Amino acid sequence: MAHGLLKLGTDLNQIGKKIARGVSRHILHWPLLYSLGQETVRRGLLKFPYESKRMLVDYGMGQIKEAYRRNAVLVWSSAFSPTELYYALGITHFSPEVASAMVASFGFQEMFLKEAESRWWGRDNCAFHRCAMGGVFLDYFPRPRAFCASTHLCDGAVLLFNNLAARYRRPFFLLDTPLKQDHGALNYVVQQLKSIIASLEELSGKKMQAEKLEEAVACAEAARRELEEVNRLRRHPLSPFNTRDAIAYLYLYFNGVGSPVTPHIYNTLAWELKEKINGAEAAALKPPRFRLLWLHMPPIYRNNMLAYLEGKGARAVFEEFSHVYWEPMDPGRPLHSIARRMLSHFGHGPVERRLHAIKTMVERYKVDGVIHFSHWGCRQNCGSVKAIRDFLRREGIPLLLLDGDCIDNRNYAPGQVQTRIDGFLEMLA
Amino acid sequence: MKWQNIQAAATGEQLPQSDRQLEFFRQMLEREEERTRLEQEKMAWLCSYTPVEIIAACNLVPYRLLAADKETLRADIYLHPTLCSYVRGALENALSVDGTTLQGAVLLNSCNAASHLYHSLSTFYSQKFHYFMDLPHDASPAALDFWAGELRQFHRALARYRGIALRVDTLQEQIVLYHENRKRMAELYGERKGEVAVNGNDLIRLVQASMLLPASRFREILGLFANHAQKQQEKGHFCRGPRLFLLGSVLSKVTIDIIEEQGGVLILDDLCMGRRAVTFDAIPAAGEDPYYYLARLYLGRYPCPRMKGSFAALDELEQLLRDYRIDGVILYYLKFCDAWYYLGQILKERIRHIPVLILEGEYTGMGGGGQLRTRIAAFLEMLSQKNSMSAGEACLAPTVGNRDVGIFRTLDFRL
Ligand code: SF4
Ligand code: SF4
Repeated sequence: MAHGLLKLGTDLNQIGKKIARGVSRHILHWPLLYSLGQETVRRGLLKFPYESKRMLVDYGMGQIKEAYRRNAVLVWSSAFSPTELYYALGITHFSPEVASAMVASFGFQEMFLKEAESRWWGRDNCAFHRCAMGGVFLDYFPRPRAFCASTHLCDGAVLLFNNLAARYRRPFFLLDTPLKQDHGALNYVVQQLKSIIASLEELSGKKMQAEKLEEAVACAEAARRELEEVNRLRRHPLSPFNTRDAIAYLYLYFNGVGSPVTPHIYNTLAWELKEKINGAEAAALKPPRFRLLWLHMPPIYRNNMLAYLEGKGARAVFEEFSHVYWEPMDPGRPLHSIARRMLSHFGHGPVERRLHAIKTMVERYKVDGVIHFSHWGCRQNCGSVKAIRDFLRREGIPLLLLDGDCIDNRNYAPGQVQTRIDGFLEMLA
Repeated sequence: MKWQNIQAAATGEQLPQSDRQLEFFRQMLEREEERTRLEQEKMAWLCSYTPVEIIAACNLVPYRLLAADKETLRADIYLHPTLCSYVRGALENALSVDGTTLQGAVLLNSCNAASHLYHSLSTFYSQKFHYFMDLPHDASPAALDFWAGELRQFHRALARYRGIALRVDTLQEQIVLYHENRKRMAELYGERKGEVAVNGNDLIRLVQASMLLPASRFREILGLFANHAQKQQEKGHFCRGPRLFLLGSVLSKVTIDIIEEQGGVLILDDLCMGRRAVTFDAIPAAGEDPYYYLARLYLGRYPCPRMKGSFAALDELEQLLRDYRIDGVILYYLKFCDAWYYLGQILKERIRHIPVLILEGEYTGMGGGGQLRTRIAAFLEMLSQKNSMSAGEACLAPTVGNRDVGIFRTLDFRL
């Protein structure tokens, strides 16, 4: 699933608009631009609601700068790839799906989508991928040396990467992630990780150091623990951190697993949430009227769905992509740990796995209802709708199905969405 | 069953000549398929990577779940409208007609649509056998090891369900039987560089029969068909018309027949219900584990678009088209079939010297045969004109629905 989303929030949005509007696409290829952006962020010239968000934007800018650096060994990597390997080898990676989310958060998606649509791509495939294709055709993105994708969750990611590898005539490394989670599957993934490492070594001319790999896995584990703590705080009845706030931080999940920076950002966020809860308790703030779980991604382009919910006293208190589904990782067994993380995604494999995860989230975050956003073109997600609806009905959990698109806003009709939300909240009351 | 019996049961007449003979074959296949549908214990499968030898070794007829050639009213309740019409049609079929005589279904993780189909089927087949199997994306040593293990587990599960002992010798017998059938099918497909006496839609019809009939019965029919084809070739009864290459998603026979009906000669195809499903082979190594052999056999075949090697394989395509003197290429993919969608784009860019007709539609044709007929007819006419003109003249011909590449390169008729 691609939901890569570098929606680094409205603040980054402002920077983006200032620097990207009206400038030649070639300027975007200048690393200096991102250095300037980082300086702006570091010197406090922009205001952020959380210190952790400032750190996040700084980190994201740094990564983009690296990606555009001339001579960078840049690997385009799909949303669920084993990023620990890149950190351990010191290889820069770039996610086209995340880039699409970033483009949509800046409000430039239409130009990208139209470009892709004028060159074969129709509107029936995932707009994360279509928008990325537009970026490729328009030459906005840094040039890849190789492609690396894993097979979860959708067919689209593998196909997009295979297509791009053929287009750029660059090598394509694929991590085939089986649906099963048994010993054979684990061994298969470990073997493939070894072969991807060998290919990345050849590509970069660097040798994988065992201690670096252990370090990356230790960072991944630290990030997992810190994210667990953030999520524990999100269970609080006052719900200090909603889906709207959380979306930007998904950048870390998609791009930052294995980086030493990620645990720091989560740790800072946890600390800030504690403060916020204390403040809210002291001020005797009221909890939201309805607590909701958001399935799949909310739209990334400017929209008021989540704000509208808030206005009605309902809050999306959690979103499925923030769910920590993987077990603790053992730096002493790095490849096994990464393989287990790869295999354990709840959206991969039989739909029962996702249903089980939804139930866990419903109970853990004590939600009153669930909103499923059916992103047009996502076969993985839309295909499960019937199973999810039947399951939640059996469990007695109210569900609102919203059809839409996370990236393409051309069919977004706020009035219709609001009417559906009103009806749903009435039912919950 | 012996050929004479089939013949006698079929008509009680002497064998008719050429066209009537072909029609007779077609009717015979229909009857045999109907008989299998009604009388045999079967196990449904969907993806052409399914190791049918294992199913047959458990005394079941491996039976491809084809899609119903009708509206998918019941299936639409269970499968989202953004999943391809093939899986919706297959579910409709399983729910209405074939579902009553099937022992169950085995599905592979070929694509998202197939995995959602599995979920739907498993709810209906809760009392029957239902199995979902991983399918690697390449034939790397790790993938072969992994898949061989999967195949062994599948065989165990099916044998247990059938209450029979797992017998490797029975599996080996089936491997030999299927190997022979594929070899003969490959021979039929092999000799098509020159003039052809059999149109490709009849070969596809045969492939379909191979996916529905017991292998032993299919072998008899195949032998007869091969004789017929050879005689036609010797007599010089050749098909006339533009030489075509057809590729794309799973298509209904009705759709494919429109090409012949409009005067096209289907020389080759790249369909998983056509050439790709039968023209692969591997020689077992001495003492090789049969599951490893099967993994090698299937994963090593020419890659379908969901496989890792499919995009790189396009580099060879244009040479193949030249070798077979192809006049035009038809790419027909199903709406919402991502695999062909992504591959199709590169295909369109790579084929530079041969006209390509691109069609997007439903399993049963683009919302009715009429539209499809018109488009194929226009394409064939364009090819005929081109054949009768020099290359320079051809470029002056009127443009038909072309978007971003030169006329006689691509007709993009996607809706
Ligand atoms: S198809 Fe679905 S899973 Fe894949 S990138 Fe798009 S939204 Fe994510
Ligand atoms: S036609 Fe395409 S989408 Fe449909 S089952 Fe086949 S590969 Fe999957």
